[in-house]
Formats: sequence, C-alpha cells, structure tokens
Amino acid sequence: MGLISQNRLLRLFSYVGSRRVQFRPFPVVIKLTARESARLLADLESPPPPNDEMKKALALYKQAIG
Amino acid sequence: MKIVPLDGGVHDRSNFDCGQPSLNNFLQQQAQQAARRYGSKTFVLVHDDDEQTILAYHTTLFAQIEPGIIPQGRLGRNPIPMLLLARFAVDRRVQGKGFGKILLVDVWRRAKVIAENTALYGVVLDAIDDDAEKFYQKFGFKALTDNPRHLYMPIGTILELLGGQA
Repeated sequence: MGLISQNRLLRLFSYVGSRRVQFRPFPVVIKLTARESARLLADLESPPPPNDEMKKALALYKQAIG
Repeated sequence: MKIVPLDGGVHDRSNFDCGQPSLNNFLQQQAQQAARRYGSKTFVLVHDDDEQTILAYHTTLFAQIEPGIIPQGRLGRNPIPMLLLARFAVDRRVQGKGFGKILLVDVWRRAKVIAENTALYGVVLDAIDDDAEKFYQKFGFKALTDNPRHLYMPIGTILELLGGQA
C-alpha cells in the first residue's frame, strides 16, 4: 500500500465518514433559475398579504406566549 | 409557555422525539455545538413549569440567494439575504396541539426583528416531507420552481402580519 497501510486508510475513511458535515455552514448559497428570480422580484415589490391561517397562528401565539 | 434559546444544561434533548431521526439527532447532537460556533441558533418551546421538556424547536441561520437575471438597478447584483429555517420539529407526543403554529410565528417575529435592523428578503426552507410541505403552504409559503419542497415567504407578508416596517 506504500506510505499508508490499507487498514489505516480504511480507518481514515471511516473517520472522515463519521465527521460528514450534515449542517451547511454560513453562508448557504441558494441558486435560482431565471423564472424563480423573476417571481421573487415580483413578490418583493408586491408581497402577498398574510392569509387567514397566518392570522390564526398569530392569535394562538399571543394566547400562548403573550 | 415560552420560547427560549436551547440550553444543554437545562433542556432535556435526549427524550425529544418528533418521528424524524435526522431532526432528533440534530437537536441531540449538533444544535448546541452549532450555536456555540455561531453557525445557527436553536430555540425551544417549553412549558413555564417544566423547562426540561422540549415540546418543539426551530433552528435558523442566514442564507443568500444568487439574484440570477434580476435586472440591474432593481435588486442589483448583490445576493439576496434570507433567513433559512433549517430545522423545525414538534415532539410527536404533543403534535396536533398548535405548537407548530406558535413556533412558526416565533420564526416570523425573529425575521421581523432582523428585517428592522438589516437587509432581509424573507424566510426560506426545505420541507422535509410532503406533510411538512403542506403545513408550510397552508401558511402562505410558496414553492420555488426547482423543487416543490423548496419554499419561501417574502418579508413583506410577515411585516404586514406583525405590523412592522423593514
């Protein structure tokens, strides 16, 4: 195996595998298609109003948390 | 009932079970460490008289969206800052009691505070399954076109609900 034995190599891969990054570090970059970008822009300029479920959730929050 | 930052010395993470192993594991093994390293922030919902038992939790951090073809002079070429709702879970023993709704409002409230102090376009998330996707869509989250589970809500909608200004 040369400079490193097969067993050590396996242990190394096992270690790297166990340390697999499951949580993406800051900053997370989200790439959008042209269509998505256009839609995001439209929403930024004219955001949709909160729906009834949002309002109900807010009422519940105020009741529970204050 | 209150929503407070996760504190491994107070909150019992080991008994939390939302039915999704990845979300359980994150809370039990990574959330505290990620917060310590300023990588993400986790808040837990607990009863006033039982601070140990975690009823639900959410984890957020910043994300940025590459603007793509957005015309110059409107959003410019700069990436669009978003609050990423990275983890969101309710313990299975208390599901259906509205705790998810309460926690979601807490995310909106924190997004509002951020938007009042720095640039924030909205909240973005990846729903973990079909049920989660339906849950978020019910509250007005919209799907991006790359993946129906990739959802977002503009900050303007949140500010209108909570009565704030960016």
